[in-house]
Amino acid sequence: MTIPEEATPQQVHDALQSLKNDLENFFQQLPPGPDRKLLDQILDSLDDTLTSLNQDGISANTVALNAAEDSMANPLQQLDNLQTELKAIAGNFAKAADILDKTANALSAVSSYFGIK
Amino acid sequence: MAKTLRLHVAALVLLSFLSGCSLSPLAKRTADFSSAAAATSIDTASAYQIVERAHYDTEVATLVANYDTDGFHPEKIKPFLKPEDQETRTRILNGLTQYAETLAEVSGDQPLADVDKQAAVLGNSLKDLSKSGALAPLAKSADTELNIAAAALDALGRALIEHRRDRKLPDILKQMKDPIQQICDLLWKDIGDPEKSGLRNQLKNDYATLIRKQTDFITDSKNLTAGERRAAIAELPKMLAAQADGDRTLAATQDALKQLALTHAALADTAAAKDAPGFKALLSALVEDGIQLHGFYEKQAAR
Repeated sequence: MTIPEEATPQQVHDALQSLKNDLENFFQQLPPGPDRKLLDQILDSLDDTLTSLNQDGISANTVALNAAEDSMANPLQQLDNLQTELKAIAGNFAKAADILDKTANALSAVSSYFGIK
Repeated sequence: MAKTLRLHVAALVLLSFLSGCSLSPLAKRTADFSSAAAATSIDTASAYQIVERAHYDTEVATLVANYDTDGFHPEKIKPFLKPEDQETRTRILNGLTQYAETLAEVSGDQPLADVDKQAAVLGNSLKDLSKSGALAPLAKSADTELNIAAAALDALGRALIEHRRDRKLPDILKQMKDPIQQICDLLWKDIGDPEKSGLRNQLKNDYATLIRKQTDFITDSKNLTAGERRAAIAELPKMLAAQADGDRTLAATQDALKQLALTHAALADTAAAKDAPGFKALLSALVEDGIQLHGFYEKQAAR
């Protein structure tokens, strides 16, 4: 396994992953003993390094995710405003219907008061 | 005067009915999209949990294996995602769910239903009034006027809500097109590839470590009874199966994210169209992906 001097994180990852896969297979074939213990420790170190590389990759995405989140702020605010507007329209029409309802009830009450049949 | 008013109101009612009382095509498509989108963003949050759980199990297995030589060091158990990375994803996925839910509310028929409900209450009062026969000529005349006014109010309310929604929603969807595409791409990238990067690679490596530690335990523990040894060995294929299931779930999450971005883009692009067969096909695929994904996550939760 050779890692170029100017290797990208992905190239380093690929090389270490390939080494880990080979060593994991080799580990399963080794009989119990000091060699296997040593290999176990090497594999633990490789795991730590690969975990760090995966974490770094995810952290790099975080920067871009935060930027995308920022660009959502304005349209989301507009969507909230639209929701408020629609609720207000519905509320106003419901109020108008309520006034008409009260008018109808008032008419009914007047007719009952005068006992008109 | 009253006759003119009646004519105006009747014309409004007719106009509103002609323009259609049900949801507009865009509102209907947006409502359908929003429920599928909310389900996808909730499931995507679970992708991170699958990997965190496997990573925690691996850290514990390593701590147990190294206990005799290193002692007890619980501080070595750390979550896979750094807190700031976790926080961003939680916020983004909550934001996506919130976006989908607000879209559902805005494009659904709740605002229209509120208007209809009040109009129905009014309609019932008018019926009672006409039954009472009170103030016969006046009531009859007022009843007719009120009836027309009630119908007009309902129709006008619906028309105004539809108009406002169809005027503003396309622009909002268009503005959200790029951010949604970027977010889905980045979350897809987070999940990565089993050999190359991201959550899938981490899951693969964590399970490989778990299997190695379990193998060590079996070979190093000379005093196990036959039953204990059998049980310990039986854990190995279970771990392999869990890794395969976990990877399938993560891959399905990637498919759903890709589908979510495509469907949202189609929704934004066809905002002005009456029919959008391309959008419908993409939405069906997104719903199908969602059902499959939900099945995978239920299996994971039962583990």
